[in-house]
Amino acid sequence: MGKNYYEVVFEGSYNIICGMLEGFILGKNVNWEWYSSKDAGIETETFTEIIKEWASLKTRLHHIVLEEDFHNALQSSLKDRGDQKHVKLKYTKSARLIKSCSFKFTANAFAKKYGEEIKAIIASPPAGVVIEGYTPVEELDTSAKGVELYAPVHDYTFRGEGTAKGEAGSIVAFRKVLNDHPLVQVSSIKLEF
Amino acid sequence: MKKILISLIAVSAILLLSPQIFNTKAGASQPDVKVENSTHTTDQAKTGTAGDHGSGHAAPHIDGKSLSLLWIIPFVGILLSIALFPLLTPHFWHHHYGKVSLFWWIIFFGAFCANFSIGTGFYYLLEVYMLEFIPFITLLLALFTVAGGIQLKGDLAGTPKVNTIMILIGGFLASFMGTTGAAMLLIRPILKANEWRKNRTHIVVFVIFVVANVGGGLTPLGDPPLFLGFLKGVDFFWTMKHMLPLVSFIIGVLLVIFFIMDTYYYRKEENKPVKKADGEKLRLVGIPNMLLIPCIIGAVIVSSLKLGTAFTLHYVEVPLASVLQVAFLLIITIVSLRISDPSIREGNGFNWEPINEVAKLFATIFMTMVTPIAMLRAGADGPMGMVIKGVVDSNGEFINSHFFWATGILSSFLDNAPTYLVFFNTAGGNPADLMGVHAGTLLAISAGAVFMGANTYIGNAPNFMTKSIAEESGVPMPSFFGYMFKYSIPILIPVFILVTFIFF
Repeated sequence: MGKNYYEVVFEGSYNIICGMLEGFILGKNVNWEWYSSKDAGIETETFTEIIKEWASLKTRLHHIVLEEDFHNALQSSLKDRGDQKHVKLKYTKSARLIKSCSFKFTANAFAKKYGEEIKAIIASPPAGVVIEGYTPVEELDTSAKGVELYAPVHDYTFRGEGTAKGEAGSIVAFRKVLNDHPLVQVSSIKLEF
Repeated sequence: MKKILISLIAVSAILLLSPQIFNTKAGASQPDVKVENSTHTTDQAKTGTAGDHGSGHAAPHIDGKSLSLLWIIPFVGILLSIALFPLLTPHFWHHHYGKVSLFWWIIFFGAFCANFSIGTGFYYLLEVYMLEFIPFITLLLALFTVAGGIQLKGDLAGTPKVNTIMILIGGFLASFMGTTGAAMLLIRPILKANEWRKNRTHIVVFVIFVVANVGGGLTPLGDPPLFLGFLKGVDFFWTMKHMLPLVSFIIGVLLVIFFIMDTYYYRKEENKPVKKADGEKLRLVGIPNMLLIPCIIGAVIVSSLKLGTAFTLHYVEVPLASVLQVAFLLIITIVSLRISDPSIREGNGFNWEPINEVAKLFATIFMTMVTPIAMLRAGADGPMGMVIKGVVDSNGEFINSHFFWATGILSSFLDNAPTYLVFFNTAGGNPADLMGVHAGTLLAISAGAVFMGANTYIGNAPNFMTKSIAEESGVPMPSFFGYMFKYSIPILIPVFILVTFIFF
């Protein structure tokens, strides 16, 4: 059974929110996972939020993905502290349990070395991630070897695309591995609630 | 079997085209061929127009004024084939470009002979191939062979400073070893130096801008359009003297932009490599081949000497200087092959395919250009008068900025060598006039053809080669439109606008 994650929308300064979360983890001495949507490439903003940000010229709403235990412990502590302190429960605008999350990827490589690298990454996703719709194509054309000017065709072509689905933590980590490869393009992570 | 099929299609097309061509001009039931008391030599082309012949033999000559516009179909056809097939059906094109080229050649030559007589066709065939195509392809062969025997080596860090210096070196070398040779020489070392970097696409794009295009603007050796100009009579040093300020300005601006961009991306890199204390310094290897480059320049300059006629074949006088040039270039090619270190050629990925491609495609381009050029030479009243009217003002004076942009825009999408010749002839085609009174116009045509080949992947032959090598080295290169919208339009077009205001 994998972990559950919540997408929590906090209102306030981004750096203060990050400091609060890190401080909370340090105080509790538990190694909880949390991901900023902005840094992890998670698609979050609603159209209303974008309009609000444009109108105010600053970002006040920040989407953070927290693992369930972290979320529960944080909310419980915030409730206990009441509204008289700087860190208030009312600044937590929403919290939704994430059912699943996914991202799409496409890869194009024109040398066997890079094709093999990409295949190896996709062949061993982290636990909790499944790859769907992935049908890689490899083409070899020995007549196309070498330098060409007007009729350039590669002697090796690898093409692949698919969707990675799974629990938030593993998906964020897997997306980063794929995104770090220069020949793989990844979409932002979509959350389902 | 396929060849027979293509030949049958070509013959059918000729049969379909010919009646239309014959009947388009009212009253032109007879082929419109004039017999002139002349022979046609390169020397004459260098001092006057094709029609200015002296006394001698009765050489056939087509009259551009009476030609139908349909005669440009094979020329446009081969250019569009080169532009579109690699994008739309790359594998088909890769395997059959020679047949496609042959198809357009047969269409043109068949219709030409049927319309103007076999003798006239044979005359133009000899003129085009002996005076233009053979010197052109032997120069490219020599440059490509020599460049393939030179390699840039060294343990380089791929920093913005190193990258900028490497691109500058490539830009300088491009004018003396050709844009293809310089791009082939530089692209692998620069990719190796930047192997550790995640953001490398912009580096390859600037190699295309500077090394594969703009850098080739200084001499007729740099880029095929300028060599065609040289074959038509433009002085070797005229190009260098007049293009120097433009080439220096554009390379300077592009390198400043590149340095800023590369510094930005360099700072974003997470894992910067540790500098090796005992790393190999940047150096060129293949010294014997480097010594052959001045020999190529010498061979090209020899062709402009007036040494008389070597031989005459079917009214075509072949100058001795031209024969000597071809002979010297072939000797240089053989010497280069003999003296080169095979490991250098291997390191450059050297093979004959690029020359094979140029030979097969340009054999058709040169031949099919005969009729469009005759039409352009007919002037504003000729069938292509609208092209000429687009680049002259109400007083009939050339508008240089129009020449720059018209040549440039066409060179962005069609091969820049024939485009150069089209506008060279639009401007009258007289090299003496174009180097003198209309020097600004020739400069605009040269600059447009050379620089704006960088606007798209299909604008100049080395662009595709550079992209292809980069992709095989793991660099994600943008698509055809991605290249235009992310790089050439936002970077090159403002620079060219600036050039227009400053120089034209």
